Amino acid sequence: MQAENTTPVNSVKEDLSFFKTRLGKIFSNLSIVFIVLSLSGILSFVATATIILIGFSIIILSIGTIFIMVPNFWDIFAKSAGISAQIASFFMQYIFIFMSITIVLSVISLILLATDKKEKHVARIVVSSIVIGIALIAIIVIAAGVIK
Amino acid sequence: MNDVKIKLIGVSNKVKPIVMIDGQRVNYKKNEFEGYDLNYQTEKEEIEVEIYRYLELKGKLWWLYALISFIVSIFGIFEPPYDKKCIVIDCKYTFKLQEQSDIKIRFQTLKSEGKCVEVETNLEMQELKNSYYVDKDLKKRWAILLAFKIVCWVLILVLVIILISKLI
Repeated sequence: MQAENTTPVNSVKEDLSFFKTRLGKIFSNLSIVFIVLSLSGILSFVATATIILIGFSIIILSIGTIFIMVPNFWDIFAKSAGISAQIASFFMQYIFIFMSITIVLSVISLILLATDKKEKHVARIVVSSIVIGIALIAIIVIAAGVIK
Repeated sequence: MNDVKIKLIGVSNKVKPIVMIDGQRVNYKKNEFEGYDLNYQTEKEEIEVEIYRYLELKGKLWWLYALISFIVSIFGIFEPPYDKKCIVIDCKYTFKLQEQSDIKIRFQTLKSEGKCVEVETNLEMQELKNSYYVDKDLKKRWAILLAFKIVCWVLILVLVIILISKLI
């Protein structure tokens, strides 16, 4: 039997407060996605370097016999390195936009979650702070020209 | 002045109940034993303690908040899910107070029906309501929301396919 619904109705203030927390969590999730996208540029360069390193290691270790075993080895090797470099260059081109969005999202989520009086969101606040830190360091590193 | 000390035991993080004394919301603090302490002072001889659970879909503007969340979270991909079970805590007690009143409220595991709390106290008390139940209206709202999301996702998918086919 369904009990009679007699629990207090949510007040508008209460609704807004919970909605604020919900938005904080959404922005926190989005900031993580954007930091991953931002770092994809840098990490893709690492991936390209790794592919090249692995490719040359195979050639050296096999003393060139890899070209006999896999005749189109050079094509495969060049193609995968090229695709990786293309992805890297796309993300590097827009890295400042991605980083800026990441910082804005993290700051908004930090404000929304830190001002929540009902519940403490320690884990999310820590994650958002780390994300801001990483984004700032990445911006400084790129702006300083360490990674081009 | 009467001092009332209420201990909330067995409260899960998922279901943080809202406690109201004489119609006013009262805050409680976590203690070192994984429970919560609530201290209240009043001149009254009798108080009414009401416990309920906040459910996001219960608000008047639930559809508006859900819609904004859905859009902001990139079509619901990055939003925390709404409570699917829609279990309501409906609990109301009256206590005749003494100068020093201790009340222990032990919560049962969240379930779709049955008793919600067990109260231990030496005070004279009256149980007005004490149950868990599934709110069918909220369940309906949850289903409406899910249907809306599915329709949106299908539409987006169709649009993406059309866009890709035109580009190619």
